[in-house]
Amino acid sequence: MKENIPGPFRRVAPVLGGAPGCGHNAAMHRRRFLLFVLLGALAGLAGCPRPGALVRPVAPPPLSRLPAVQALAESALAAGRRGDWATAAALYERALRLEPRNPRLWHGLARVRYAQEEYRQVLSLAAKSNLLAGGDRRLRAANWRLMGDARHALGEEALAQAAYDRAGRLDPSGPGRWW
Amino acid sequence: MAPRLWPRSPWRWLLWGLALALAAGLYGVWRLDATVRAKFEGHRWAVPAHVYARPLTLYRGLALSPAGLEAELMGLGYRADGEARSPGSYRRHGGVFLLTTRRFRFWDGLQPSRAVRVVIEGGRVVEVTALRRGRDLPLLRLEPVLVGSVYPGLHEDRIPLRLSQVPAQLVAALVAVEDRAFFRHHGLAPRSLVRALWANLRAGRTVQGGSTLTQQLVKNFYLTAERSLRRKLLEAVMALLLEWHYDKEDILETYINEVYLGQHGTRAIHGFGLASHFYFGRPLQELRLSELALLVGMIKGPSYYNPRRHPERARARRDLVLDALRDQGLIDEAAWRAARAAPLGVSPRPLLRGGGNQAYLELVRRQLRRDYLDEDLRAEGLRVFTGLDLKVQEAAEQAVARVLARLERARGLDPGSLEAAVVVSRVADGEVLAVVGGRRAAFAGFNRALDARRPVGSLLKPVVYLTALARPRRYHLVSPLDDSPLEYEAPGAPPWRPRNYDGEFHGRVPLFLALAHSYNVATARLALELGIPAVLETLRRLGVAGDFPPYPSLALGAVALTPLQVARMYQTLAGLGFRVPLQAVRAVTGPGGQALARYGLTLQQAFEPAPVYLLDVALQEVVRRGTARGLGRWLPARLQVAGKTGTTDEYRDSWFAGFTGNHLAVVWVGRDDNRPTGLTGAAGAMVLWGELMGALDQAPLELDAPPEVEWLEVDPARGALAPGCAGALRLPFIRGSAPADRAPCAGARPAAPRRLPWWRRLFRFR
Repeated sequence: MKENIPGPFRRVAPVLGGAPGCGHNAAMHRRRFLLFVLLGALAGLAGCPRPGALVRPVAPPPLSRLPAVQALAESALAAGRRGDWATAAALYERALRLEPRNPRLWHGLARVRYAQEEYRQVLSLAAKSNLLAGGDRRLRAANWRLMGDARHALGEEALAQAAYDRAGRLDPSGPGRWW
Repeated sequence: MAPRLWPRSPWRWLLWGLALALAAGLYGVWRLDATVRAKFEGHRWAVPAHVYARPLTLYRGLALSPAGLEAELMGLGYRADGEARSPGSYRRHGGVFLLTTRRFRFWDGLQPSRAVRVVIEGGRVVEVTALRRGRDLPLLRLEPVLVGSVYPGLHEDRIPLRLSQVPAQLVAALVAVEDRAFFRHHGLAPRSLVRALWANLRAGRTVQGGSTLTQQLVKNFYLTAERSLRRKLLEAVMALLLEWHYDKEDILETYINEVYLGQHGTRAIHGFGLASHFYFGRPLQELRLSELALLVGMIKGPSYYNPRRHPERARARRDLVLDALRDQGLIDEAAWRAARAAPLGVSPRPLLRGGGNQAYLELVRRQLRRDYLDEDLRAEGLRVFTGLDLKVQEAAEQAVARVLARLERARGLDPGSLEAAVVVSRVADGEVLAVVGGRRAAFAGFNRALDARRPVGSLLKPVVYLTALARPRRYHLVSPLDDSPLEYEAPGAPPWRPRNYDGEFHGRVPLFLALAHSYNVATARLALELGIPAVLETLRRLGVAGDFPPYPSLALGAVALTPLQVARMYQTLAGLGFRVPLQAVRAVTGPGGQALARYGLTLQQAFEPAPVYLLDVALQEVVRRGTARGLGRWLPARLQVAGKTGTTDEYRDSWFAGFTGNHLAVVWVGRDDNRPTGLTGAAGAMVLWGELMGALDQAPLELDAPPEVEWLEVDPARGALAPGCAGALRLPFIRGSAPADRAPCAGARPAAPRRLPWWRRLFRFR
């Protein structure tokens, strides 16, 4: 159980990057495992990044392939950092008009609504993001965490706990940012 | 005897009379003075709220044709111009555009004018760069088109300008033609008056007016159109008073915003600001000398010199103004010659469409009325930013006109007897893009899209089927429904015997096909099984509020809704159970440009996505193999359109509602007198829907499957799993709800696959 719920924009945790194929943290399909152990060992000898180099924030992956949406989302994030939530919301909405099926934009808007204390909106927006998120487990986990925060704010503790549990099952590594 | 103060003679009375008259006159002047000052100082232009269409945002990746961009620019009154360096001008070379935008105050801030290069290739924008420094622009918002005012029925409209915003040439022309002595006189110019009289006498008709600008302003501002000596006198006194109190700049600015320059329906065009938009589709600051001269020339008689109706007269008058400018040395010979050679430059029809858009504006008005007082909307100079997409609006208006005329011809109906209503919205956020309230789009009368409540017929069936699919333990897409004769008796009502449109009964039908073919009897039985209150609850959650009696016939559409309500309901279906309000207004700003309100995106999850997903797939089947098969004529199969036809008793109402990946539209066709039209949903409304949607850029409807949905191969006739069977259909099921039976062709449930030895598994990739 969380004692205090930090605002979603303040919750910043460093993201660990891992090089695929080095076998440090990749949970691999068993069938491929045997084959890749061999290749992995070779690659490791050939020069896998040193462990120290792995603990380095990775450049955030683009939010969208459309530069316009990327620009709007970045401006929205910047507005959020200033605490200008109305502008942030308007920018996310513009971005959504261009790319309505981008789950991260819906998530971003849900975070803005959280900051605006519109918790019912948070629940719907995060659910919408989840619907579009497909196999993106980290995003889905983040949505459930956000829904948990909103439920908590609404005083719905049992539902909040259920949401946190779902987040935990989806992404055991815990909260993180992915942009 | 002391001399008397007054001689005892008739003079005495005369002097008393004179003194009294003087006192009365002074009192009158004093009263007049108060009036003049109160009106002039207390006056704020009553500016009705102006409405803007959605701005076009240009960005790399946007689907847009060069012709589409050019049309947009023309709609904004951009001038095709060699340099394209002045605001509101562009140059096109194939798919390459150079253009300079206008500075514009949006609700979220001022956007400066920008010179940019836009390249379109293969139907997409591939480049947007700022010309200065060649910097790549992620997105560029063009200014929006001003489409009208919230109260088009209002008698006066204007776009007020400050004197500093008015081109110097306009002021020069105004003074040169209307009142040469303006900057010298004190409100009256007797010499001009005499000169005008003399000129008129010589010509035998009125060729010159002797009134000063101040007098003209007084006439417009304070007095009626009455022509009498008394009024002339009053005018003169008031002009003198005005000049005494205020400086020339104030008077000129007021004149420029007050002068009457034309008529648009019932709306009077006041001031040069609005007139410039009305005649040229551009702001006053962008007008050329010849165009400014035309506007100044029109003061003398806006309808007599109307450049749209009487281009020759208007041209002659304009040239007269130009001549006066040259004669007084205000322009040089070259400018004079160039301006005289220029065409009138008037836009063919007013861009401020007092016509068209009326139905949309009505929706705007209603949304605003919830938050604003009527007086504020009428007078406070608010600016309203909407989602109106003129391209969609025009396509809808044209489709209505074309299709109705064709249907009437083909069916031998009286011309003009059919009516229609259309609502188009964006699937993503429920913004209303276009509304057509009837055939006469310019007529602000009965708005069928918003106000015509008509039985919806089979458009209601999805509500019944969604109620069923939301109970996955009981229903799935191939659940067998019973389409055999049904008689339902309720106490106190005659027995209800629903029938199918084809007059036949189809026995056992899988659920999705009963919807696809719109079978009434199967649906009625299903609704009775579910319970009418449950169906009503689904309707309410879809966003349709109302007090509907829970009769079983409701399930077959014996419920009257407006096209807008239907759109709301289908919007929730298109949003996979997420309800958004259908909104027209994005934001409202005050007279200073400050944002007063923003109507953001709000979302409410009304259903779990999975059952709505199944229903939407079934609605795609309606188009693929059901009553809406005919849509293939306008929309290719790859768009995977979802939709539903609706027909009511005796063919009184013909409906179609449906959506693609980006647009949702609802169409109603019928008659105002509610008489039969002989049109089914597919024969009437669907044709209109298809033509309209076929004319727009459509994205395929790719439904996002919720994780709890799985696609399985089934034999629909048996309602059984049929993996690998010939003729099997792939349909979605909520996990755990799929039929347990297997079709014979599928054989027994296969044993778990034999595990291969590890070396075989090693090289088996998928």
